Amino acid sequence: MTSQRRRAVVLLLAPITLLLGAFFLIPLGIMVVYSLLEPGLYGGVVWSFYPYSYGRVFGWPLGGGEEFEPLYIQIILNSVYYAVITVIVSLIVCYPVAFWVSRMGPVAKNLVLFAITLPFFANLLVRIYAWLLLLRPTGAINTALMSLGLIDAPLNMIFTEFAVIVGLVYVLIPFMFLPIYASVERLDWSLVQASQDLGATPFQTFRRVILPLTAPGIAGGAVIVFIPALGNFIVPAFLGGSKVQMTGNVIERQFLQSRNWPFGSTLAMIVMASVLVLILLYALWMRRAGKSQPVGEVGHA
Amino acid sequence: MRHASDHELLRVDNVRKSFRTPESGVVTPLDGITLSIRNNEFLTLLGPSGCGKTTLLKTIAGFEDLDEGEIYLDGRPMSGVPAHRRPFNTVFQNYALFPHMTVAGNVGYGLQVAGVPRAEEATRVADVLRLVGLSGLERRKPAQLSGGQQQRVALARALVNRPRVLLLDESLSALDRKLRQSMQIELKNLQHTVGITFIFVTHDQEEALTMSDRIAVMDKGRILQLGTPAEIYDQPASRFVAGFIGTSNIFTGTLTQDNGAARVQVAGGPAIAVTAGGFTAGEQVDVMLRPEHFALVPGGNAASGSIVAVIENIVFVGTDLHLHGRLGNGMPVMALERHARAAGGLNLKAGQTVTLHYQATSPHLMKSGAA
Amino acid sequence: MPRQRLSPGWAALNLYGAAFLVFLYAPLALITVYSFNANAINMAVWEGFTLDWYRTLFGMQPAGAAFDAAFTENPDRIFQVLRNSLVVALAASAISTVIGTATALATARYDFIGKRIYQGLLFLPMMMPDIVLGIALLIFFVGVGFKLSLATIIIGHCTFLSSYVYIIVAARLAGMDNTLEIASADLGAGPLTTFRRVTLPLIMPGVIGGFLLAFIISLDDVVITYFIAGVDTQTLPLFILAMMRRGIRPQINALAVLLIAFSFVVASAGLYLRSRKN
Repeated sequence: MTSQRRRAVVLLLAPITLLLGAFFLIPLGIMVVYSLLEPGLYGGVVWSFYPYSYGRVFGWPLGGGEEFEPLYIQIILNSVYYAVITVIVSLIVCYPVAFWVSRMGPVAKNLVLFAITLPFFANLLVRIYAWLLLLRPTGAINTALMSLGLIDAPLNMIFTEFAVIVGLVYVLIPFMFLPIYASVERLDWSLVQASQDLGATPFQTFRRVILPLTAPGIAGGAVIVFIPALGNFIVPAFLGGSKVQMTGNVIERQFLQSRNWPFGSTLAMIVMASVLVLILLYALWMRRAGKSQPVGEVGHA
Repeated sequence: MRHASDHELLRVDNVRKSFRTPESGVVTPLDGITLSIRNNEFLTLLGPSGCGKTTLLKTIAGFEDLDEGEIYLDGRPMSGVPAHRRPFNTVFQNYALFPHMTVAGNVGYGLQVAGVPRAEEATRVADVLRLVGLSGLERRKPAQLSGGQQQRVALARALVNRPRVLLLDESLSALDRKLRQSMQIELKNLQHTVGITFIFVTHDQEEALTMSDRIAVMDKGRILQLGTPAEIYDQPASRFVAGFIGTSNIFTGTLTQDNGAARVQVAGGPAIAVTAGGFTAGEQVDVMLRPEHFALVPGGNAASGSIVAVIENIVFVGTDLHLHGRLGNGMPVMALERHARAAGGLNLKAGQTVTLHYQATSPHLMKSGAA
Repeated sequence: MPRQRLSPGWAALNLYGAAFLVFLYAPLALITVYSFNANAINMAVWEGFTLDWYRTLFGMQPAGAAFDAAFTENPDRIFQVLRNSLVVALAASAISTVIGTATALATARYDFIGKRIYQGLLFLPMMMPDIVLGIALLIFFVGVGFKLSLATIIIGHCTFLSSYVYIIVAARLAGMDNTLEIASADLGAGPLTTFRRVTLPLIMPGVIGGFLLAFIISLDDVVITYFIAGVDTQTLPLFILAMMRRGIRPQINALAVLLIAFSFVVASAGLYLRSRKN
């Protein structure tokens, strides 16, 4: 019987093991190796240990003709900055909405939850394209404002930091909403009453009861919004133009234009390492706090 | 020890509340309730679920607004005073302990938000935890406590703030029977020790009788009767109250007066000798006889002050036997017999005819048809 | 629980929630309106209703004097990329459904060493930024000597779609009473019979829901496909990407609307099946 069960487990797990082993772990491993190889003169790689691509980003170790270019640190920090702003904006937007939905009747609730989830399935490019139509000088917003006489000349919105953040928020907001909603839905309202009953003002109740109890949802949402925001290159490519650069744009160029794959891999490694550290910290925090919070529909954007 | 005084602490004055639900249309949980609550008393709001008792408690606490009426504390109207500014504290039905705080954190919460200095908070938390017997568990989280311990934390968390009134919402119902019984006594003792007015909501008549100074029996948003446990038990105001508190035999009949001897003639059944009280001959009345009012004699010798019944079932409950029988006209009747006496030679059996004697002062008359 | 009366606070919250829904849908509604606007130069100004952008999208002749009548040099191109996208989405979501379901069965119904590692590993492809996964696969395929083709896109999609299906089916299995399977075994059914007659019918809504959601995610994927598609294996999103790079044209609106409509229908079915109770 046990051997039969063991055979069943092996059979059931073989496909995923093969798939993730061959086409996920090994490619990521090769990417690690690539980041430590010497770039060939006309694309391709030279098989020799070459840690200097990292030097080009961090300033150490240097050698092999690579020079420290502070620009890249700047771009990475910018990307982190955009991702953090995206997280904060989505959080502020979603938090009240989660309370709004949680106090609805069952029918309205299901309907609104569905309505909030659905746009996530509209094509990413289409959603970005829509903002292109809204934000450009002859776009819907400028046309409306000008015909209302509120402005004389079109506002310069497209190809700005503002456009990139609006785009990132719009594309990633379902990932923030769902975990926050899950934790708000689970909030026991008698605890809020208990806090009032014990004399806490509405603000004290929010800070000391509601906020800590929904913190797992906030953290979950923050992590799964931050990650795709950090590595994004489509949103800045279309809404940021040449003015707003994120790490993703540089990586893309290294692979498809400059053909410096080792350097592209190095930058991708930095993104991946930050993501893994973040996930690790989140997992540790959840375990320490003894919290169990399904991340909900963890997404891919 | 402090005792209930006649000083009025809280006045509920003609309070009304109704709302519309999608399921059952307009519901009126509070239909004109007036109630005076004295200083230091233990008052129980007793009634079936949906009678409005919890809603009344919530309006006192400030979680629900009123449609009409007013609640006064020491003569000051409370409407417009939000829950967090009312000097009342609640022990919630599910305890509502903050899961992310320790026992000490939960208990100290009310003091912290009120800005009580740290040192004083520590002393008061330690004192109240000693009072409820939880010293040493300060650092536990609620999830690490038993149901009884959680209940005590909830109690301590409310008491530490020295509220003018402590509101308890079905606070013992989540405990198992044994624990509930011991907590009933503890709670009553605690109330004497701390000298705070307790308003206790329950649907459990036994709990109400055990702990209360006074009981308000509620149904359908109204108070049907307000009185001491003995008053409620011995002189229920209506068939509903009699039926809700304890076990009772209730017969409906017409009051007759014959040479000063008052009787209630049950249609198609026995005539029950009663003391007329404030009722007049010819009136339709309900007459209540508690099972323990009967003294049982084997054999069927109907006379004034007794009724004859045939035993159908004998249920042994330990100290007592519960005898379920029927009168000649088929009406059910229940009587109580001490197990010790029954075992000592009565030799009761199902199918046996017995005579149930009662004293003329035992039957209690109520207005017939009153809810 | 009595209903709260509508206080000013709740009224404000209702307004806020409504604004949030407008924020989500207004951009998509805007494209839809634009796609029927005859004004091709300044889309924000309405010039009359037309279906020309839909017609020219598929190489048909415009009914009116349509601006820039030919959408692409080769009208067959759009059918080709559509076919590519459908082949990829169907194959990748079918394979992922089988793999994801098998994995969910293993973790939900069996105990084995390294179970937690598997559960953690399954989250990673979804959490990994697309660009990292895309270039890792690119380096791998090129390094191993795989020609970039529809096959490489299908494999690439499977790596993260399997995790989606896994999560949906595992959630369904977790909500399912395994005493039913024990009862089936008790009645003499072998493991395969139990799976076919008891387990599979019960998890079927989750499996189909997972398949549909995987299908839509695959159909819509841009970033990973971008790195691992061959020159002659463009998918619909890559086609749109190329169009967008060349500039805003009214036919993109029409194509976008069709894509949104199709995604919404399939995703609705998937979400409905995923959430359906027995």
